[in-house]
Amino acid sequence: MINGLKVIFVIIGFIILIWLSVSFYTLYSNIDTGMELVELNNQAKLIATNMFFSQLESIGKISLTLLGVLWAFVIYKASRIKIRGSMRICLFIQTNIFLLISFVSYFVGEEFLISRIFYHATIDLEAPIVNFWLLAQRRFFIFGLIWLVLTIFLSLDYD
Amino acid sequence: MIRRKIIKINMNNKIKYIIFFICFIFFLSSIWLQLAYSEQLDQMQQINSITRNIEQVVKKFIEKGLLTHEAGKKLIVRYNELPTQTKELFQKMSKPQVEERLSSYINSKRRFMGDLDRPLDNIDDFNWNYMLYDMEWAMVTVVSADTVSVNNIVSGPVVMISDGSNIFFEAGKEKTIVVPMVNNSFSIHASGVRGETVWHAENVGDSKSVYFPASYSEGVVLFINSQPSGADIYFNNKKYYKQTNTTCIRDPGRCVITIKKENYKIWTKEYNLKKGEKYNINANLEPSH
Repeated sequence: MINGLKVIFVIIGFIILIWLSVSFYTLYSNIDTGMELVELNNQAKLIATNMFFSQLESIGKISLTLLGVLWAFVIYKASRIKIRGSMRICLFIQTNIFLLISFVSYFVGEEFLISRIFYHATIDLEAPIVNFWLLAQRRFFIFGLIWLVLTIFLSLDYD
Repeated sequence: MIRRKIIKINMNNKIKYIIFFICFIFFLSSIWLQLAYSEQLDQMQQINSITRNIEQVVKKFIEKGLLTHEAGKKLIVRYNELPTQTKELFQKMSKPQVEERLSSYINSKRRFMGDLDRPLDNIDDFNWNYMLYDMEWAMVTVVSADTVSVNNIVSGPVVMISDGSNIFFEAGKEKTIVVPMVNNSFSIHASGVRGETVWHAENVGDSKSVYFPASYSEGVVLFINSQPSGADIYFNNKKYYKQTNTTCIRDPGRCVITIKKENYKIWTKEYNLKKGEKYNINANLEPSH
């Protein structure tokens, strides 16, 4: 039964990965990267901007930490989680890809947003491009988290 | 009677001996002080002599028209403010050596600034520690994201530590300085409120010129207005989330701007947006019938 579940989740994982990648690529191609000039002269706007960046940063750091945890299971030999066999390896790779893309979205998005603030002292949280980076990071992070849990439970050595 | 005399003589002798002893102690002390501090006294004399040499060298450059009076004064003031340990290092250098190295800095800077006709007046990037080494110079232009102060400049095995007259890079503003260089490489270490920043260059080419732009990319500002307002805006056929009259910051490059409003003709124009520029776009929409 567990072997059957592994196969199902590997297939679902690949479908979700392809679907998410294609949909975000299409979305990015169709949205305009422009942003309105919004002056950050308001305490509320400044707080909202700070919270926005904190959110981006915390999800980015957690995704990196989870990647580390995943690799720790591989490196630590005394662990009960054994990444052996094609299905387990596929789940492991899928988890890595989800979390890596989440982190890359954070990295690229943050640099883009900081350049807008640095040069133009503006950030419009309503702008589609701002929401795009946040959405991409979150979606891949959530699936990365789910696949991490699945990888751990389906790779447990029950002996 | 004899006894009194003897006593008198003895008392007088005692006082004499005491006075003699005290004088002898003073004499010995002065000799000891002389010996103990002679080295320091020599050093002070040497430092004063080197300072005089430095002043003479600087005065020579002013007379030759290579340095302005103000710049020369600053150089001497900065030299006088150096710690004694650093000044001691200058004792090992001869006056012609100091002259040669200072001349190298002044001429390199004047050449880099493209102003060989006027004396040098800006010596903000000068550091007396540079004169302790024989090296080449590079012209470095930096655009720093933050306001930072340079802590030290490292080149090969040599580390030039700030002598207190710090070089500052203001956030977002271009600044050109002259930096000493060994083996065509150097690093500038600076620190600001957000922490450390390092600019590193290797294999500096024959032009001896290095440019460090800010790592972030500057966009283009557009002010988009239409008459009447409330029209939809499209950039390269992608709809913008705001209507006219509005502003937009976007990446530079080719851009086709289309403005559409119901019952009005479509207005369209192509622009080649350049980084850091501001564009005012005014569209007078014509009724469609």
